[in-house]
Amino acid sequence: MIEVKNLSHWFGDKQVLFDINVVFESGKTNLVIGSSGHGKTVLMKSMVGLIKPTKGEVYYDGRPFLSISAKERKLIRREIGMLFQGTALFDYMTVGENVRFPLDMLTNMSEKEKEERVAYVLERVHLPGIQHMYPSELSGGMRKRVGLARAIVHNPKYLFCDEPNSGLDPRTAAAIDDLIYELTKEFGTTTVINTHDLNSIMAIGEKIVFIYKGHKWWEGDSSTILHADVKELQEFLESSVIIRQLKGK
Amino acid sequence: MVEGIFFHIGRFFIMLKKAIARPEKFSVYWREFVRNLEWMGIGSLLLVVVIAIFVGAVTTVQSAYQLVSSLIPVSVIGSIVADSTLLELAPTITSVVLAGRIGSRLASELATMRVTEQIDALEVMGIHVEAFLVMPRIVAAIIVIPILIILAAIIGIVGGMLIGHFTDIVPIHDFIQGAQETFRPMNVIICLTKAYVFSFIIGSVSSYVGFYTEGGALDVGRASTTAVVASSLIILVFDYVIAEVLLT
Repeated sequence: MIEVKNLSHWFGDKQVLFDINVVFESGKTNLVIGSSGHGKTVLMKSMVGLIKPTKGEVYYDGRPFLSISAKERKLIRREIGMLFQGTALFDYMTVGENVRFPLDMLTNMSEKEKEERVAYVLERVHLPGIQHMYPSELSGGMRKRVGLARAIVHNPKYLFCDEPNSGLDPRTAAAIDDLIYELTKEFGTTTVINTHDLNSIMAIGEKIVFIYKGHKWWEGDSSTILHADVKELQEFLESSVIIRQLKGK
Repeated sequence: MVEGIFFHIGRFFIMLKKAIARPEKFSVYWREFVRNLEWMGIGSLLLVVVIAIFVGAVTTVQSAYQLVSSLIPVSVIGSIVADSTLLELAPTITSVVLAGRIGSRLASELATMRVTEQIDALEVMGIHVEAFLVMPRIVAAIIVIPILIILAAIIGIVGGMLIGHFTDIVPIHDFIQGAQETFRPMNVIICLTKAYVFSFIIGSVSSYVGFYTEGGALDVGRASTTAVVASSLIILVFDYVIAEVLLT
């Protein structure tokens, strides 16, 4: 479980996050949704420590993350896996080297164990046997899946996905969503997903937090979102023709 | 402006301090070090050889051109070529060229990693990013560049000697005699001092520029150019400082 308490952040004199309080539950796909530029990425980057928020704290299973020493923070970070929007695969490494990198750095596994683990996670993301290929040889969807394989290879307790299906065709995007959902259930991770993809919201939104202009505006799940009496949320949702048709508008 | 310079100097030393952190896994750092060693050394070898040959050749021809008096023995050409190659041409010209070859790639590689979130990915994994990315590159530069400079010095002198011989400017025997007459071990020490200082400048300044790049693809190109310009300028400043300290 990840708990965000009173998180606020300013860029210079512009406040971009306003006292965010939210709990992300274990074994669930927790979605942070909202339009671009409303603070989703700043929230996620603050939660993993890539941005030091001006105020507030993040607790990983009760352990404070932001107010502890850098050394202690590194230990919690080793329990985190993250899929970046642009995948952030290391260009000069093969797929195999990319995926096994966290194992090389963070574990004392034998070579054989590492190879088996890499083969297993690549199989889980439906990309078996591509260890020898370079990221530049892969399609966008394949890169995302390799990024996901790298994020989960060391069995993280917390999985963060920043816009996991941006730039992908609807079919590949849905496959990535399914994969994240399956992996969350299989490994019991606390998964936090930043997205503005309405298909993802409806398909895997077990918990949904709507961020609007830096504020937590609404909280619920995919079964309640369409009927929520929140004007800004409905405007956001109705940007999709399918949602408009679904709601009979 | 002055504030900006102090900001960069401060951040540069903070980066170096962080880069000295204990490696999480020595074998992974070693792999990174060897990879850098390889592209820096093998990738620059041909360029350094070609430049050294021509620098030696030009020094021989120009020295002969300036020897207008028949009272001055031609063996002086050997002395001029050997001394100037060791003291200035091999370390400085090679370093400025390598600032372009190695420095630009170092900066653009790290800048690309920054703008494509690869450095963020390392940070999220809980890895000492400065230690993992900067230290292997600086150490590789400090090992490879002095070797290339020593090679450039040898090839420059030999190249100058052969050109002198084949163009009938100075016979090999006279060239060697001239080079030996004025040879001082201090020249080699100065050459090596410059080689190590300049290699550290190329490795560290270029890494610094790349590591702290912000923005997008355009900024990667800008970082590459900045790294070359900054490294070259700092090399020239330290060239003067070393000459002033060791030669006067």
